[in-house]
Amino acid sequence: MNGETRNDRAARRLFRDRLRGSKRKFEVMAEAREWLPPHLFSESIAWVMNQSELGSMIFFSRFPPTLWHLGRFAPLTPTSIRREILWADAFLLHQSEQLNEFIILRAELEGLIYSGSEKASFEILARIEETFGISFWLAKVRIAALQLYRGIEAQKNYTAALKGQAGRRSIQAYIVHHVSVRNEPSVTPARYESQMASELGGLALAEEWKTKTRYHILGADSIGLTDAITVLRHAHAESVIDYYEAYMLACRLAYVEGEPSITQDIAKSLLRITSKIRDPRLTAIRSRIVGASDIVIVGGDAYSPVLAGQFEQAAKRIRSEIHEYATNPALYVAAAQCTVPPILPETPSGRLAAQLRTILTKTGNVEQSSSEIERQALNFPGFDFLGVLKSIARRELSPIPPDVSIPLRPQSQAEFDRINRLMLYSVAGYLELSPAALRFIDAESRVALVSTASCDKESSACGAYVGAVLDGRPSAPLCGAECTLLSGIGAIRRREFGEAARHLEELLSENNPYYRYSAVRSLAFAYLEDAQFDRSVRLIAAEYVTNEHARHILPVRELADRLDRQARRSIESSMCLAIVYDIYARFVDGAYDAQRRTAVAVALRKADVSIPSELRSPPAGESLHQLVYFLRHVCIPEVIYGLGVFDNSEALLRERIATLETLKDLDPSSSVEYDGEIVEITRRILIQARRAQIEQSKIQLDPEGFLREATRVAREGYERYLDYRRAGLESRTQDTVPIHGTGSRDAEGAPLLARALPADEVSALFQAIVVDLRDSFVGNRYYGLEGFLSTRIRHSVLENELRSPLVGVHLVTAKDSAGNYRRNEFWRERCTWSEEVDDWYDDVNSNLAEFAGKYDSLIEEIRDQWVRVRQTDPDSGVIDLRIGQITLIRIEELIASLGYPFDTFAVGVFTLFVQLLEPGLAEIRSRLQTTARDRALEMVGELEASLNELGAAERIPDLLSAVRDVRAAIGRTLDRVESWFKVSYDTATEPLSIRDVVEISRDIARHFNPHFGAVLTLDGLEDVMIPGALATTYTDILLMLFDNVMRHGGLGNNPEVELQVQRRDDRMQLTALNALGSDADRSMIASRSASIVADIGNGSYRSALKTKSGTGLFRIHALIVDSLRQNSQLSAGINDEGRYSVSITLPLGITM
Amino acid sequence: MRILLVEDDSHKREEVVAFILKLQLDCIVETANSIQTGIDAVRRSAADLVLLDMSLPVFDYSVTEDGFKHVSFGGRDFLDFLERATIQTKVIVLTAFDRFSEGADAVTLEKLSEELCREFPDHYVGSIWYSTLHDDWKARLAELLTRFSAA
Repeated sequence: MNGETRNDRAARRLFRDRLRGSKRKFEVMAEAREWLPPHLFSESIAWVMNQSELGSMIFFSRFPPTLWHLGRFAPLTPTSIRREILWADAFLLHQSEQLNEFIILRAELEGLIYSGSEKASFEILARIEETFGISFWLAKVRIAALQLYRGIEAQKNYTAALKGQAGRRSIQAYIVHHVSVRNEPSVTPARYESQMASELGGLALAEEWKTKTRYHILGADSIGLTDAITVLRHAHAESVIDYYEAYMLACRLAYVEGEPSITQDIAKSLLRITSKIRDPRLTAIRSRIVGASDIVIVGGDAYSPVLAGQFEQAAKRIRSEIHEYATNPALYVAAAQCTVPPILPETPSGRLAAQLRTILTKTGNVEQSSSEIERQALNFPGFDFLGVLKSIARRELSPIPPDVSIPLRPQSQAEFDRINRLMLYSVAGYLELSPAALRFIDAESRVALVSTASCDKESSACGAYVGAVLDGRPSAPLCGAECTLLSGIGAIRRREFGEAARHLEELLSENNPYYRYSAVRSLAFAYLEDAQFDRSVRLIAAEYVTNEHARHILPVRELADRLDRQARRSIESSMCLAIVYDIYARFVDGAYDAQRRTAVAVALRKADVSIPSELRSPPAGESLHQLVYFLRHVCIPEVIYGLGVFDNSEALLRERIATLETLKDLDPSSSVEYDGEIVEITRRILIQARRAQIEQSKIQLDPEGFLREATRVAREGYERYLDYRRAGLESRTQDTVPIHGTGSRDAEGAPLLARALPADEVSALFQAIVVDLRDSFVGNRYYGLEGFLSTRIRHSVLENELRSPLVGVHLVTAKDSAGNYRRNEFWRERCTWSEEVDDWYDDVNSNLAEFAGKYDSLIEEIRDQWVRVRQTDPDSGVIDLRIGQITLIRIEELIASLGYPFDTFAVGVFTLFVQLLEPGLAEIRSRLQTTARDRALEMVGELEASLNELGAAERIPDLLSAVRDVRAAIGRTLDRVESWFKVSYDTATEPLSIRDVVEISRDIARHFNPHFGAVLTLDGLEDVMIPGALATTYTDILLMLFDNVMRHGGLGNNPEVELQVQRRDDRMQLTALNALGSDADRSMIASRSASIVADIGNGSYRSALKTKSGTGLFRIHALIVDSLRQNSQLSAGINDEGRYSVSITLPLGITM
Repeated sequence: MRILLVEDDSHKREEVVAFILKLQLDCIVETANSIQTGIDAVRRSAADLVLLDMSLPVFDYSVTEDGFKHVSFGGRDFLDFLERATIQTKVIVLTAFDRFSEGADAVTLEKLSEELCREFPDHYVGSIWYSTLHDDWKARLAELLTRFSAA
């Protein structure tokens, strides 16, 4: 204790006394970190550790035996970053012996895992666990290794055992669970990261616990230095291994973030710690921070030949070394740079090398390969070589070359900086750096690194590379392609873009894909920076149409953003411009859709054609590849409607078919795909036509059916009537005496037959015949008017159609079992946040519910009071088919004029009934266009006004836009409903396949609710044909099945159904399956389903059909029995998977 | 003066036409319900002035035609056609929306107006925000129409 001051002695005494005298020993120690002089940290820790009882109370289990122990103790209380670091190194130095052993085992493990040594890897993992206990680091690496070698079941078993140790509701269990999930092969790292970031944000945890959890689940990329210090504090309570890894994390981030106030302290800490802990990574980080010259640039046996262009020699080296030096990133880059791919072993390192090569040479699915590298880097935390490869992969997903350090646009600059940070973080642990990694570091950092490093002089190629980095003059023995590339890049850095283009264009004919695509990226960048837009457009289009995997390195977004009106007009190749905008639309967003349409129109005009299908050869200056891409991908209906030369949707689709025919000539190798699309479009046209036909056949009267039924119910009576007439008895219909005098009148004001007393027997008979026929016309269960009104309009369809504009924009929610509208969460989620947002939104929600209530009342009025056949005088119903004296007289006159054959009589009566029907239908149409429209628009106006008053324009502007959208949509939907109220005699005989019928039904259901999802499984029955005249009935049945799910599934705004069509012996079974919402009452659903099935079985369902609700399944059964005239087995209930299931069976072939 | 109103909302269409007629300008008002019928109308004979909705279907809706697509910036397609076809007609955008598209992609009317001014300087005159709740649009429209008919 030389140089010790009185204060030191006092502090020491105070520390020890407080610890001895306190029951809260851990808290005393944690607080002491605030006031103890840092140079006393080490001896204070030693003093505690030397007292076994005290040591175990304060430092817990430094090498915990189970996952439970990792969460058993409290983290340290916060102190300054400086003190946190100094405390950590003091503590870790006391564990140097164990850590040195761990460091050796850890390094060995990295190599073994990637060289494919499964057995040895798991032996090392077992040894680490045995020696150092459990740690988050070990859990993460072991889960990843199990997934890599033994698959998902093995890693899940291990994860389950860990979770069992910790308790399933613990943070530790939460962490290992999500670590396990991220290892699953089907999980995409990018999506996982965004989902987890969102989930963690919503967790009910203190912020510092979230930080720690985020670090363990999403890795080091997800946090900064301040967060790393929090992780460090927490790791103190976990295990020495995690504490050490957290210390390393903090040091790296301090270097990357370069905060001067702390880096010097960290450098001193690192100097101290590396005196006893022999980890080259710590030495390298310190060297980076202080700019020491012990960093060496090494070409190595494999990468030096690459620089010199000796690719065969390099390939041999890679083959022999990638097993032994699996953690050397240079080998992976070398494998990617060889002109011919080297033969790689079937080991994790070999697969990784192949993936990196795919990315760098654009020879396959770049996203998938990149995603796999990201996954490995995330799952094996701290495996530095994976971090380097991940950074390289990220670089290659960006159009900005790493070599440039010129000012970029803000968005591009932010992306560039993110990648730089990642790269610097990953290489920070290397004392030896290869040009393989250097070439992906940004130019500024690269020059800084190279300036202080020493170079491996034995490798002259490496020396030449370093020289070129420093002076911008590449020379031999660097290979020609390398020299050309470096020359081009050097010129870009000097902003000599013309010179850059001259060099880089040379490499476009290079057969080494790595150099070629490096040049493409730099060249596209140079053109853009030099405002050479035409060249830029041509380069991007040419590259993309020949290799779509190159898209990431093409600056499509940057180019599109710079093309103003004048720049666009200066571009000669409008076809290439259309292709560039198409790439933008595919991979960025729809911001330039209008420009894409314009470019297409201009390209066609320049080619002197008016429509794409006329473009039968490439215009001057364009390649066949470009023309094929243009016609195939750009000239689609969604784009070419802007040409303004098509009259309707069908014409637009027919032009697409013509374009595909042109493409078959231009690109015969893809004719199978073109034929497939032609078939699809043809079907779409057919389906649209049939759908319109079906929707227009709501009141589908059937004269032949009426005649058959008339014969059954009235022929005999009619013959008697004729006998009376022949016997000279005259009808005195005109003398019929009303029973009730006034008040009971038909539509023409005459007294009603049903309430009048016939004057004689002939009249009575005649009246009875007509009433029977009228009742048959209205109520016959096979074709009666009431059946159509009820099944095709009133039952759900009318309501669904009228509600569809509201459902589409989420203005209305479903009702709960008590009949109240559910809270509209869709718009709540879109509110800008403020403290009182929930209270404020309650008012918005009430207004929406009030609006929905009024709107639904209007629908009910239309359904229950308008769309009905009036039965009695004060009854509701706009359609009045009650028959009075005048009608009766007209019928008699008709008979007299037509003669007396029964068929003639029946047809005449049918025609008369249709005439009587028309005024009612006209009245409904008129009311829809006036009363209904005015009232609905008034409601929308009131809603808009009330939302405005609440200030929705500021907090949910999209809600007001949705309300305004609804205004026009309600007009359209009323037009559509109006069109239903006309008599259809459609007797389409063209059969439809069951697939088409199902798709038409799905389309209609989606029209009602755009959020409705339906998965169809047709099980080989796609081509079973349905007679054309029955297509509407099949559609009705399917719509009722879908409606049942939408209404009763408890699935909220996004109902989904799976429809299975399967063969069951000689019958076809249609099964609709859907999940049940969380608040669905399952026991009630099960008992209700059983009761429905029983009612159908005993026939009592018929009476229930007359009620308004809960009759969907009865109606389905009734339709099958009445309209299809088939027996059916209907079953309904909750299946073994907990899904609701409704099945009906039908014969495979039904004929009329 | 020939005025073409391109508007798919029948209620708004009726209200705007009634208002213009009430101004008793010396004009004929023609209407179109979609981008395509708007294009057809100017192709037949160029109007002196087009009152253009921004959010439009491609084709007129009917029981057999679903309009193909409802385009948030359909008015822009119409303007684009005028420019390509070099039809010298002035255009006033008359829209019920103060923002277009949704969420992060949403564009305010002010921003859209700036863009249209930049992209279609030969055609675009200005924008009027139509509202069923306020009458401000009437004064603004009357002012522009009166000025236009006097020119």
